[in-house]
Amino acid sequence: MASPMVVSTGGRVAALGVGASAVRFVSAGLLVPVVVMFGTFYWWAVGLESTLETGLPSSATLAAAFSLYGSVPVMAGFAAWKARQIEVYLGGKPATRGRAASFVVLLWPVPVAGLAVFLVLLVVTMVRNGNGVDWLLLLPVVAVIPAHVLLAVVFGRGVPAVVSVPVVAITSWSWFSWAPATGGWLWWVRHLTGVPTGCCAGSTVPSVASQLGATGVAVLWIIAALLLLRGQRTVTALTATVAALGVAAAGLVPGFAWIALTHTWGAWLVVQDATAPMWPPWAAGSST
Amino acid sequence: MTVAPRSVLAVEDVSYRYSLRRAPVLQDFTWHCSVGERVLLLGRNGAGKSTLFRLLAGLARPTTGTVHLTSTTRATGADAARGTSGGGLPETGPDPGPGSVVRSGGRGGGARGAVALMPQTIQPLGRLLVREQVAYAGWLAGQSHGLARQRTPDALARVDLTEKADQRSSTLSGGQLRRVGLAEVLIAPAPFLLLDEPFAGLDPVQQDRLKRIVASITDRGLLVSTHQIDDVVDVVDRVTVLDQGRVRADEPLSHLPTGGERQAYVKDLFARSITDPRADDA
Repeated sequence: MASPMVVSTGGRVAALGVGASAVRFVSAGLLVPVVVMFGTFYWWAVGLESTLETGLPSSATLAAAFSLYGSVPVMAGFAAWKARQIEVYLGGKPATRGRAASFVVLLWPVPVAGLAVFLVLLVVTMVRNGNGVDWLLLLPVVAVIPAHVLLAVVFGRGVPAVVSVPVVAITSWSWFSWAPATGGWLWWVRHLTGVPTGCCAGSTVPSVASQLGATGVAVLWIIAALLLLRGQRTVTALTATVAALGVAAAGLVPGFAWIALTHTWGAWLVVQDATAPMWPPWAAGSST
Repeated sequence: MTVAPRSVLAVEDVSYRYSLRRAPVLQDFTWHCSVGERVLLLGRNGAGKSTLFRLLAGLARPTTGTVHLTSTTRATGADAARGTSGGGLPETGPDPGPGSVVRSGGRGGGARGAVALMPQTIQPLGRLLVREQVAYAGWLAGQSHGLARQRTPDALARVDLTEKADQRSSTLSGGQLRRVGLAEVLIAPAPFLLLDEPFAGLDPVQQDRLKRIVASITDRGLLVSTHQIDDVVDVVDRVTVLDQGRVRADEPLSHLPTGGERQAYVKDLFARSITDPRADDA
């Protein structure tokens, strides 16, 4: 039967591309306000209150990074919820496209929303306080957001939303909250969240190693999540995760070496108070 | 559009079991379907119909045997004039073009990409509109975003859902959702379509509507699994009866007139072919 080509009344919207579909799919009308609300709360209540020092580039970026405390768990929850819908839809359908791509093409607005909120808060902070951008702090932020979202997708696609949403949201929030509180032999974990908190103030200089370590961990989490979404064996993803921790540890090794060689708290490892002398630490007020 | 009458989706000596401790669902199963052919697949519950669909779609790997797509046809018409060559399934239609083996799944490879499957249950995809869901299905089947969006109106027109294009798929009735499922397989560039219980749960009006749509699909190979013989027997060319994992009957129907005679023939064939003819759940 010859089939007439019919142009639907929504042709104009369709012409906008997959963007419109993805934005609709993730319930952006709900996602964005919630991300803004939680992200702004942490930026305002914690970031601005505890870190901002006019004139120090890191302080504005750091203050904005605190929004991740609130925005990332929200994004993770949304991602888990929507991932389940995609998984149910895809189940039992043959597809030429890869599994990971099938999720990403509909879920990309979730991390983009969080990143946009972060950037807006960063600009607001910069304008308000005259700070610049600290690119070293920006690096892990950009990696941490998709890492949490993708891991939430991996978990959420196989679990009903009523379970997965609170689990991933609480886990994500706990990671941001627990890690900075670690001490003892686990002290280096506090630097891996991507938000240099727990030991930092707006007047500090972030450690290069810690930020690269956090970025490395996030990137390898992304790789692990993509491997799992592609249907690779679990062991592959576990290997990637272990490698992530290894890279993080390796990133901090130079710091250890620095300490061993110089017995000095070098700027390579620790967060330093930019307004105080670097040594001795009790005089500088620096911490690990 | 050029039809490739010798494009064949074939299952050869396939056995499949879900675990070593369980009996095989399919045993030494050999079967084929050509482009342009419409086959009715009958069998009792548990006969292996859905498993066969999963194997054909590449969603499961046969324990032994092969599932593959073979094309030995020559291009005709415009394609031949252009001298196009094979090497894959073009996005412009199901014709795999000239050549020999287009896709050979080998052991367990299935014929993924050459087969579009309409499952028993059609799921609405979140808040997506009908046209967006169908376009996503087209993209999943390997088309570019642009091409999938371009073909969506045509697919929706074929299933009489143009007026619902801008409605959320989650708000559709069961019958409308089934037609969305059909549009999702029609938009795929696959030369073979598998419809698993397409008439289940539909009222008589919707069944009749879907039957007409199925009858209009003449440019693909079509395999329809259903327990409702009367709904589809008039629009198929062949019937295959599956029982206990084996092909018990595989006969053409084209020589029979449509209507009651064909229905009676198929029902009788089914009753004679299954192990327990008293079973009434087919």
